[in-house]
Amino acid sequence: MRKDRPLIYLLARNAAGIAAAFLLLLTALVVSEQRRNHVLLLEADAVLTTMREQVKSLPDDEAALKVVRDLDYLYRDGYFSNERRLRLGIGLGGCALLILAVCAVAMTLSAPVELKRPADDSKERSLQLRRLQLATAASVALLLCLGLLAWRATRQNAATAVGDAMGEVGGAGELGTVAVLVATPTIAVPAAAPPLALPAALAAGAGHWPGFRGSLVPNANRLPPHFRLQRAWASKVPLAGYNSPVVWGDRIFVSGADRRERAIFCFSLADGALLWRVAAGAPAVVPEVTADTGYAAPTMAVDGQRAYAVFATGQVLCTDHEGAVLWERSLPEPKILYGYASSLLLAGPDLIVQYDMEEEQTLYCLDVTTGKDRWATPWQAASSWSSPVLLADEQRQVIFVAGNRKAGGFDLASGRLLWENSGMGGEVACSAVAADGTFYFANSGALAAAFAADSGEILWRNDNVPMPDVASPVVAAGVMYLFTSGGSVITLDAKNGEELYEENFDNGFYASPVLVDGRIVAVNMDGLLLVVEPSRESFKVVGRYEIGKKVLATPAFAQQWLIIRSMDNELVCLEAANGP
Amino acid sequence: MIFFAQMRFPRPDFEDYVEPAMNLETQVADGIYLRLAVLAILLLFTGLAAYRWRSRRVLLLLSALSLLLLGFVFSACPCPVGMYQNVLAGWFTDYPLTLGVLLLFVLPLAVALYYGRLFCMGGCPLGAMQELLHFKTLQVPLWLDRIGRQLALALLLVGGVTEASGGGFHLCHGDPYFVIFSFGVSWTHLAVAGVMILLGVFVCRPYCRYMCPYGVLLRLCALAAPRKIAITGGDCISCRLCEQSCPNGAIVAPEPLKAAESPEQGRRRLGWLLALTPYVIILCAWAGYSLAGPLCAVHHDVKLLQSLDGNLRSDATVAFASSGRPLSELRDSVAQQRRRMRIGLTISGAIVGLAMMLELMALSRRRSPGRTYEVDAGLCVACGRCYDVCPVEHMTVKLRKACPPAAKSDA
Repeated sequence: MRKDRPLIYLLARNAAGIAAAFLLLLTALVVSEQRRNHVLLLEADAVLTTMREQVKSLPDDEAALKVVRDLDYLYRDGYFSNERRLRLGIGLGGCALLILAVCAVAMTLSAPVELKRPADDSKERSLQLRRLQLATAASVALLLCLGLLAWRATRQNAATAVGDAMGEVGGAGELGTVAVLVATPTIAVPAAAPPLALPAALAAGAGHWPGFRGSLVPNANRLPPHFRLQRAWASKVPLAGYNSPVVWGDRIFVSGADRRERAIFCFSLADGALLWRVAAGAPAVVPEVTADTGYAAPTMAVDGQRAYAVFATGQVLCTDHEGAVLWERSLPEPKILYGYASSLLLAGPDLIVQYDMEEEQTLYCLDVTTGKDRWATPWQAASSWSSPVLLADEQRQVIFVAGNRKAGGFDLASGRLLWENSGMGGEVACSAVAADGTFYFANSGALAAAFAADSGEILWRNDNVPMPDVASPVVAAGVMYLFTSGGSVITLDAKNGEELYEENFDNGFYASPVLVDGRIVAVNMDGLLLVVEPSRESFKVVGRYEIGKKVLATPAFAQQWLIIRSMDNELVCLEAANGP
Repeated sequence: MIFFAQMRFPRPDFEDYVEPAMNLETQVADGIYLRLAVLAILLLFTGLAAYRWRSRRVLLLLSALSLLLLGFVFSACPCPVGMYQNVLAGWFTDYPLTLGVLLLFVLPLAVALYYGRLFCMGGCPLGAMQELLHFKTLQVPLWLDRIGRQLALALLLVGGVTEASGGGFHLCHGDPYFVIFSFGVSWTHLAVAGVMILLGVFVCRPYCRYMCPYGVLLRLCALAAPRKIAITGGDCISCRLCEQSCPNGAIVAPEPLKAAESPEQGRRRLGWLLALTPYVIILCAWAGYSLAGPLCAVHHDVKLLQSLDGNLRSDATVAFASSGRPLSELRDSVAQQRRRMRIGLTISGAIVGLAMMLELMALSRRRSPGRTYEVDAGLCVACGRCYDVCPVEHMTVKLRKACPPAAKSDA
């Protein structure tokens, strides 16, 4: 410390130090508190929005209304309290800054003038001039580099635009079909098209492939008694995704996504041409996912008017068949290991979304016309990558949902949890299959079992056979088929769960088998497609086809066409032609 | 508040609730004449303190007053950084430009045309904050200082072109001190403001010197001012004590007795610089032209068209679809904005290139013999530091105190 400083200078300096320390501490406190409150308020807002929507369907429920009003009051109170605290923090910070400024003035005025006699530097100006010349040259070079980068970026964008316009979608199949992109900007305001009721919707969808394992609902796709498969076309999907294609009429829908973009793609069934693509908006958060799940693992759903997709960001997007966006909404931030993967289930006017995250599990039922909640039922089941399955007959409409800890049955109309059974385990990715008033389910680490649809009672279980961990089971002719990731195919008696026989292949199955016209179609990871005649005695393969590509996604059918999405992100269309 | 802009605060659920209409013109013009009067008074006293009383203490007090009044009491919007954007927006677009804002923009420039940059010391809350929080001076090397000042010119030009082509008030959004005066928090602003305040503790007025676009206009006006602040109240004795006193590098030293290079060498270098100037201008103009592409993305219409072309759904695209505005009209508007940006930024690039070469030539120029220490009117912000170190000034003050004007007249 210099002794020639006057007392006022020393006082001002100490006060300035205290003010600076206070300012830093205050800034840290305000920043941390505001960040925490920001997240809390966003979460409260999401809950409030959901509850508001639920209350709309219960206008006479005074108790529910009161709960929403109280929560709304609390939310607004919290919002304004937070704002008051922020203003107080900034006000205190401003005061500290003013004190700092006053101290600075006091220090400046009270400090004795320090005189500096500069060294004799006659060459200093010439040195500075030389440096300024170099700096000017460097600045011009920097400007040029920036200009060059911008120029190249502009040229590349222009080239991409031209490439898109010329239909460079790539990946033309063996038959040389070249897809042509004819997408046009078609952002639209929501259209009012009334959806069909469930029975009529199921009947209308029978001739198509409206969702994941499309033949779970009544399906009228037929295969010729004797057929041979031949490749019709192949077309590249511009964005990656493990979801399976869905089909309505002459249009195929798939979704694709990466960290930057999430989109629905529509292809022509006739020639594989990419008809349009529609991207979802920016999500609030882009979660981390693993490469083997990606951002577009859930399979889409489609009806006669709309196509629906959900992404690992929690965004649900609905378009019409021409690519006009009808609605889009975001579910709460998905926090789940590997990434969100449950496929959509379409049940007439209801779109079911199984949203089982690590901390919260909710089954959503969205209105297909608006995307708003019809109901949302939370339950305690741990995370899940499985997809919901519907059993709809004259007696009941039950949705089966499998989670890591529990399986549950929900009433489609009200969303009420009818039953739950805590016999699960492991990491559940397989989905159930419904037949004869029973849900059949198998997943490695959990169990192979049959659940009574009305009560959830386990009719039988078998824990002694290899089980799949990705591919869902299929039930045909009283036999439950389990296509496992290890390559073995296990058959169980659907009545009692006893093992019937086993068949083994070189590579395992990730794609779920589907039932078409009484025959099972399964594809293993090597791209070996099998057509199996169901039998209690032996594994009867009636058709084989080497796709020539790795396959993880479940195949889709449309009339005599079979559409497969390969692991390298190509849609391959095979035609089941009459013949030996 | 800016911080809450991302928060989806629900609108009141009353059936008869009507959202209040926002009157931008009223908001911008609110209390502007009172502010103008305060500014005029502050500038008057700053002029007196700088030219007549020659007191750094008074100048500092005026600076603190401007921070308090124009910063915190009247709020700093429209701030000096973005004020000229208001004027440009009013000129080129349908933005409401009031007479008050125009006067607020013109008054400091008019003062600078005659008395130099008094506004920077006594009228600008941003400058006052930097002046008051500057504790320890680290001199920025001359070459770095001069090249850094080109950044402010570039910001002035790019911000102006963007605004004139309808791109919005981007310079205002980049003003780091805005968050302090507006009590609004954006984390980016807060971080930049923190860095600037910390930097300002050691480097005098970093924002004024290297980023403030209005400062560039003030500098240009001040260069033409007939009156300059004098370092000393008497005759300069070339004691060199003031040479290091100015943290803004505004004191111009006389030519050294022994020149570092011969006149022939100087002339040759000047010739080279003159020959290179057209090439530098062309290259910088081309760089400006190329940068126009990416910079166009700041325009709302360009972003909207990109979203529509990419079929990206957003509030803007839905609003566009609902509005019934033809897509062709949007495309025409975007094409026009792009054309304006290209032309504007090409010219801007050329101006920056020319300014860099002029700076080099100015430093190459030899001052005429016999000139003493003087201030560079374009760089001087009337802070008054040089008064305190000048021994002649001290003697003059002492003499003035010893012999008041009345006593002198009696004598």
